[in-house]
Amino acid sequence: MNIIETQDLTRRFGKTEALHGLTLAVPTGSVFALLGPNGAGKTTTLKLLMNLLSPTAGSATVLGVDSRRLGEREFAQIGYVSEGQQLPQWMTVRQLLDYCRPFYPTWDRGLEATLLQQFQLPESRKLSELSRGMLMKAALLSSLPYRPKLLVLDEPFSGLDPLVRDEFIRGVLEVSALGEWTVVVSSHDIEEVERLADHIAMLEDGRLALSERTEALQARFRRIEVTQDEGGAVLANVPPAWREVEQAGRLVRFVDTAYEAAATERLCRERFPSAAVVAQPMSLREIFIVLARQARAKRTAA
Amino acid sequence: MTLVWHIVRKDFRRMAVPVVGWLGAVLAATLWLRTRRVEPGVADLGVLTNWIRSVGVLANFVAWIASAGAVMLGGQWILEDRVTGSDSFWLTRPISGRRLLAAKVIGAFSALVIVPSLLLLVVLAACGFSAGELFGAVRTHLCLLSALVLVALALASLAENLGEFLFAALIAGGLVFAGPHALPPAWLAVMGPSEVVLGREAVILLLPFPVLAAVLVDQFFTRRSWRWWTVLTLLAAAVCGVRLVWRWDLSGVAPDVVQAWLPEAKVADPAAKPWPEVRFSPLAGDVTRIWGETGARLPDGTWLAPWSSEGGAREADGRKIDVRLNWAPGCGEEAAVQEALAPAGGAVARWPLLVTWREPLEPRPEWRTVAFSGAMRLMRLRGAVLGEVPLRDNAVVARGARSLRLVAMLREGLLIEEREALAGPTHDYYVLVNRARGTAQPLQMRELGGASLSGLGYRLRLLSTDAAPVTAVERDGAVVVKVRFTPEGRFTRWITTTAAASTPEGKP
Repeated sequence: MNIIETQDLTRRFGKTEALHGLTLAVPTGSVFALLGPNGAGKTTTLKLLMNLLSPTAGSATVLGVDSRRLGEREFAQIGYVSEGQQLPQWMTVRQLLDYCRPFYPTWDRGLEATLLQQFQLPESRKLSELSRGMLMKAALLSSLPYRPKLLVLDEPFSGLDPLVRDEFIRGVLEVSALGEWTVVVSSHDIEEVERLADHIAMLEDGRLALSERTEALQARFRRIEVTQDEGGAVLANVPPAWREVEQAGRLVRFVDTAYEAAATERLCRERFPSAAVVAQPMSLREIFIVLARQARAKRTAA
Repeated sequence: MTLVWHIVRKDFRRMAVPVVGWLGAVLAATLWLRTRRVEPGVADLGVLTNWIRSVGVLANFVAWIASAGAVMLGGQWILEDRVTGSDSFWLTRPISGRRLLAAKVIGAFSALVIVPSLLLLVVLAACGFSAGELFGAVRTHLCLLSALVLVALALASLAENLGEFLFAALIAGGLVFAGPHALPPAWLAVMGPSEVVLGREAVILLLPFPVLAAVLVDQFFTRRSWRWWTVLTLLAAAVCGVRLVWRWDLSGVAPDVVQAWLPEAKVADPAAKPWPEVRFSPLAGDVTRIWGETGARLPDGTWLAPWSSEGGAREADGRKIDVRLNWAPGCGEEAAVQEALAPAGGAVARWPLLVTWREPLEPRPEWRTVAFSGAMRLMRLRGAVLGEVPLRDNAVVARGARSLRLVAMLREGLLIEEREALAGPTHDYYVLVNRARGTAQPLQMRELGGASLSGLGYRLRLLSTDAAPVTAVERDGAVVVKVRFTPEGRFTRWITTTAAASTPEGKP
């Protein structure tokens, strides 16, 4: 069951195509990370999903409803926190909560108190007087007590110092453990997302580069180091799944994007019969960089 | 509805300080104006004129600030929860456009229209104005503020930020000021008294308001950008332009006759017989008098006043002649009022009108063949004596808070100070009546200056006669009677001649 589905979602701004034919599914109950460099189309995607922008082509459904028809009933089940969102800065934290509460029939005052304590936000301070990190926490705080089925976080970590970032992530992890909430988070900060996400989608130039479970993604990417006893390895006709192949003396290194222990071992033996093969796991950051380089190379070639 | 009020309360809390500041400033200035008065003994007309003008300038400035404040606050009311763009807080909350629109309209009109008008009601009631005056003043105030707030809300619903809103407001303000210069002369006629029945042109001029209301409502449902509306407006203008050029008779929209305003002149009752004849009488230079008369008598207390006219002339060969319509001297309102005050069955009503030909007609023998056609728009006015003040220094006639004070009898004339609640355009005239002698002498009125603010009016006027200053003999037992005519309705009288008939030069 998917809480979000998009079909050929496209958005143009004048002559610029910010998003091109995005087809994506976000499983219910997942923590879904939308990754990509700046300008990849992450924020545009989320704004299209939240009906903040209208698609030029294609469609999206959120909570089973066409994103262009999202109404009060759907938004009562959605929490949206964005770095660019304009909060009523003149309100205090308490006033913000008091203002939001009547709009949500499921608002849990007990959870509100718990979160307020967890986030350590000064209730009587105006939002305009809060630091950037506290402001993001206040926005998150106003989006959680009604236990949204879908929590959408758009670049929540940008501009936050490491300590606040850590607290924020811990907060999201804590609340996501409270129920079967789906969290969609967009970020270009991969290391932080790695701790959160169980699903990853990567956007590159408005196009979907990949979308799969984090575990599966990390399982199929390996940095392979082949150390040959004798020099002169044959590097021609390497499998297409091998990326960034480079050789330094007897050492050959590459990234296998379709790693499967036995198959990779076999392919290596075919080319390097007497070599030692070491497969190292890769972090999301490393995978992201490989994919980004690959996309750039394609662009350059084009 | 509970959630609508929840949003209204939020906006009230947000806007409380600026709204209270705005109201406080305007009310303080209104009360300040209320306390203005000319001290007895001031006899220098120059000093008085400068003083009342400075009061007027200050009041105008405050009135401008009050209007600008209403627009700014109205805009801010919407921008607090911006409609356009994609960053507003409410967009991802369970708040529908319908609910937010209702909250914004209720909040803005309550705080910026209803509350100020109620406060004005209280202030003017405390001053002692009558119920009728209060109603008139508050109605005028309500209409003005409603128009300003509607414009502000509509413009703000298109703007993504305060800068865009201010830019749009400046453009709109510029259009309001430049509009009278850009509109076809025929349309200007409707910018006269607001009491008259609305005509076709008035409907066109008022069209922006329902259009703005429609834009405001649509924005809360569609959240279009101002660029979209600009394109739509340009398209509409282009379509209208094409229709105008290809299908409309341009001569009707922009006639080659320059229209002029006419002063009041006493003419026949509209229900009376049609005017039997229109005659041309050449005066000096390029000026020709068109005049006519009817045997109809004026009903008691009524008076017909032309408030605009337009027309044109053609020669026998069909060639158009540009003309300019002006009012004719000798039909001044003072004389008309005197006639209006005279017993029923008095003088025959006349309506003289001057036509200024672009080219002198006198040297041209063919002027006799000129045919004139045009329309006079007339108001039906009903007069009432507002009060009479004895002819002595510092004499006052007051009803409630409305007062007429004869400050001094200066060499230049009688200086009077007036205070009242404003309720739209009025036509005031003064007659020096001496009942013992059985005389009534119309007084010429010269406005020295005045100020109006929040429905409160204050002005200084100088009354004089055509002849010598009022003598001591005339003063004895004399009173100044103030007569006010208020419009009751409007009608148009067409004037057409197939050929001009000559009459001896002189007054008709």
